[in-house]
Amino acid sequence: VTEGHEDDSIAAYALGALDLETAERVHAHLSNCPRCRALTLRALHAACALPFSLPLYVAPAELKSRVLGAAKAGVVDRAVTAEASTATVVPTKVPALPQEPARQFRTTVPRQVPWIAGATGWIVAAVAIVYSHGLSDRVRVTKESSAQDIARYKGQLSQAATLRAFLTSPDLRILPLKNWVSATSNTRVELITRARSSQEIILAQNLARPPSGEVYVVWIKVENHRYQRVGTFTTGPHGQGLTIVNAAFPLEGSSTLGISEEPTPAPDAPTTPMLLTVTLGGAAPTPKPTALPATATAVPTGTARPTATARPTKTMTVPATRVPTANTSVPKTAVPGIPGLPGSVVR
Amino acid sequence: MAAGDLDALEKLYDRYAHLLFSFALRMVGESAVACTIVEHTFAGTWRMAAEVAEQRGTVGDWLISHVHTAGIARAHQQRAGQDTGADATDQPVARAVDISRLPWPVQDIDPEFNALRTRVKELLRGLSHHRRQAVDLAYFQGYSQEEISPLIQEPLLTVKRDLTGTLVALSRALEGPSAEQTGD
Repeated sequence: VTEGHEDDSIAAYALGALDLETAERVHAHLSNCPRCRALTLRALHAACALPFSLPLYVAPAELKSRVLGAAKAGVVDRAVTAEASTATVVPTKVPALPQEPARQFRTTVPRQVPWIAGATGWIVAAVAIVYSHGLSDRVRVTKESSAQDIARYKGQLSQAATLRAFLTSPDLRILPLKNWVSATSNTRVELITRARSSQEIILAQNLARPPSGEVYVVWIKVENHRYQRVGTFTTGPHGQGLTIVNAAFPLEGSSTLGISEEPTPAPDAPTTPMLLTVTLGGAAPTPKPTALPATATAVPTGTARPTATARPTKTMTVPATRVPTANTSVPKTAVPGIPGLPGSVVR
Repeated sequence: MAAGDLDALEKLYDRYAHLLFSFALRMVGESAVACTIVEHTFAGTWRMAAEVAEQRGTVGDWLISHVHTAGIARAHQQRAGQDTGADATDQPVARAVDISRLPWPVQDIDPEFNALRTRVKELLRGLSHHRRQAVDLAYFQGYSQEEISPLIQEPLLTVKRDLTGTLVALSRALEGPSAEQTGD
């Protein structure tokens, strides 16, 4: 063992066999120690040979079309993202990072929005975002429209198709978020998912339009304080934005999501402080997921049903006090960020 | 692939899909879950192609590490569910692989990997039983070295030595000229 290094732990680290506390310590060390980092890369490369010892099985044929289909959608999304990020930039000049004052982070308690009211809110908001942008842009489509325009429309169609699939899914779920740390007092973020889907929708409301040339980037916290980028979006005039995430791995019950303002749509790591972080998971763990009818306006209590085929990681826990009865009306204030209703941010 | 070439992704898929699927299947024991993990892995790799290209190490390492991370998360989740007394029928045990329901095994699906497969298998076969157990519990089942020690009834120091020794031996084996995993 070399003093001041992590030789003892590197093999276990590469194999994923360290407890969380030790793994975090090793990870922190690696970021400052080129020697141990090189050893770890070598150990990791060796560990990655282990799956080659397994008997091989043929992957189902339909998996290939799923993978390639998602990638094709990704081509469009990337083109749209690139286009969106440059659309508002002063010609040929990349904007410098603004000198922002230190953010005053504070912990805020999320408003106790009735569950179904939140569901209605996101549906309306999501549809409004995609279709209103699409309709307003479609007016300007001409034969001279650029490839970027066409890519943007395709992206919008792709988003709309995904939203339509979500809206008609009986397994639609809104994952509860907790531990809010937000730089803005009334920003809301919701994570919408459905069973047997690799996609999630992240919907932000009351999030001011980012500075010119910048975008919001959604991150998921992976082990050891690192963040992995999962989506990019900008917000509309009413503070709404959404991104459709093809999760690289199932979002866990305790995953932490963060949103930061970034000067480019594809940074390796957050370059600015997180505007907002939230952790998945509700108050009390409940083994049975609760299904949400997509078009319902009110849901009576006791609608939970077993979903044996649902991904266990998507377990939604809804505190009983937040599930309205069938007679509960949806208050207007529960739908912030929608034009014409209270709570919109116009900037 | 960093430039967004779908053909490159297809080639990558053809090369690694069966390996990744087999690996995921070994870790989670369910074909559908294994498919989801592999799909997410390729989607993530595609989305972050530029970053993958800049990473040190091979694309193969990246893909395998993604599947490994997802598999470990799944294994931990299943064990947590068992610890809290959650309904075990809802969360199948990772290691309870039902052989009769597995897809057909294949041999020599990618001749390019054969030399590596042979070398790794030979190396693992040459290990002592408890060392193989330690590696299996750590890498394929997501146990920490502290958890492994009582499971295989060996001192923690021995477990650490076994894990380190195995990776050192693997590293040496991989240094052979014909053992390149990828040329991506």
